[in-house]
Amino acid sequence: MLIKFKNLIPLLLLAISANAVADEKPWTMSAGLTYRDTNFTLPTNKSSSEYWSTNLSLNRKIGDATWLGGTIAFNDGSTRYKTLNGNGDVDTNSVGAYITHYLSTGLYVNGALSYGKLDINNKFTTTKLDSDADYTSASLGLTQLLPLSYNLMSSLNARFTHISTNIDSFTTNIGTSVADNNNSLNYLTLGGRLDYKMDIWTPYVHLDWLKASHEFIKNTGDDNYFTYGIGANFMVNKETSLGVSLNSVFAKRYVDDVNVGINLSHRF
Amino acid sequence: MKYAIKMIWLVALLSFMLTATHTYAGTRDAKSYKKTVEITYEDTGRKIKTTTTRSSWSGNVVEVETIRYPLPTEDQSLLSTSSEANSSNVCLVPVCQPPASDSQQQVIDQVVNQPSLTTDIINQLPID
Repeated sequence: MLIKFKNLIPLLLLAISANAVADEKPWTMSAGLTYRDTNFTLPTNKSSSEYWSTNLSLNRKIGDATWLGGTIAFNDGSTRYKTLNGNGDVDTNSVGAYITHYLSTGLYVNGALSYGKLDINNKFTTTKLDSDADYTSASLGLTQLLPLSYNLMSSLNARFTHISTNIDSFTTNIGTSVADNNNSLNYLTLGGRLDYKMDIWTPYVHLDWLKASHEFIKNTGDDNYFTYGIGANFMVNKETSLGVSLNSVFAKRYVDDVNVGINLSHRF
Repeated sequence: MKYAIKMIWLVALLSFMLTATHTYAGTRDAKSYKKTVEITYEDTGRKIKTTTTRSSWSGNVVEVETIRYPLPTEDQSLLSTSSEANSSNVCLVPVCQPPASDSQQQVIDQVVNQPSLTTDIINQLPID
C-alpha cells in the first residue's frame, strides 16, 4: 500500500511527540540510596554523624502536563558526640506526595507534602534518653528550563519549604522529665542547574542557596548556606536510567557535609 | 510585621524571577536547536540527510525528525524506525524524575538538624 510522503509528516510528528511517548508508559518507579557524612564543629558540641537513606517513589503522568506521585523513605542516622562524650541514633520513616505541573515555555510548578516519624535515642556517660518525634512539611516551587544549546540545558528553581516538628515529652533513665517541644522552620531554596546531554550520559552540576527564617542549627547563627553537587544520569535503555550524585555544602558555619547517592528509575 | 516584610520580599523575588525567565524564555522560544545527521544504508550504501530538532521546552528530550530530502516510497519503513529511535525519552532535568526523593531527603536533613532535636534536648539535660 502506497502512502504519499507528505501525508505521513503529521502522523510522524504526532507519533514521536513527547506526550505520545509519555502516554504509552505513564508510570515511573524510582529507588534511591544515599549515604551522608556530617561533621559538626561547634566548640561546645562537636559531633560527627553518618546517615543511610533509602527511598522508593512512584509517579504517574496525568493528562498532558501533570505528574502525580508518592514516596516512602527510611533514614538511619548515627551520631557520635565528641565534646559531650556520647552517641545517638535517629531513625526516620517518612511518606510523601508530590505534584508537578507544566505551565508553559519551560516553566514547571511543583508541590510536595511529607510526614515523618522519628525515633531518637541518645546515650551519654550516665544519661540515656529515648524520645519520639514527628514532622510535617509542605513545599511549593517553580522550575524554569532555559535551553542554551542543542546539548546544554540550564534550569533555575525557587522553592519555599515549611517544616513543623514535635518532640514528645520523655523521661531520662535518671528521672529527668523533659516537656514536649514544638518547632518550625521556613526556608527558601534558590538554585540553578546545568545538564549536558551526551549520547547516553547526561552529566550535570547544580548550586542552591538556602535561606531560613531562623538559624538552621541553634547557637550557630547560621540562617543560610549553599549546597552544590555534580552527578550524571545514564540511560540503561529507553525505559531505565541510573543516576549518581555527589553533593556538599559551603558557607555553612560549623558544618561539613558530604553525601553520595545512587538512583534507579524505570518507566512502564 | 517582620514576617509580612519577609513575605513581601519573597513574593517580589519570585515575581522578578518569573518575569526575568519568561522574558528570556520568550526570546529563546524563537530559536530552535537543529542538528543534521547523515544516515547510510548498510545494504545499499546510499546516504540520506535528515535534520533533527530538539523539543526545547519539554522536560524530556525528544528529537523530532523532519526530513530534509523526501524519501522514495520504498524507504518509508525508515520513518517508523527513525521515529522509534528518536523517541528515547531521556530525562534531562529534575522535573522529569520523581522530585520527591531529593526534596524529601533535604527535609529530613533539616529536621534532623533542627535545634530541638539535638542541642535543645541536650541542653535541658544534666549531662555529665
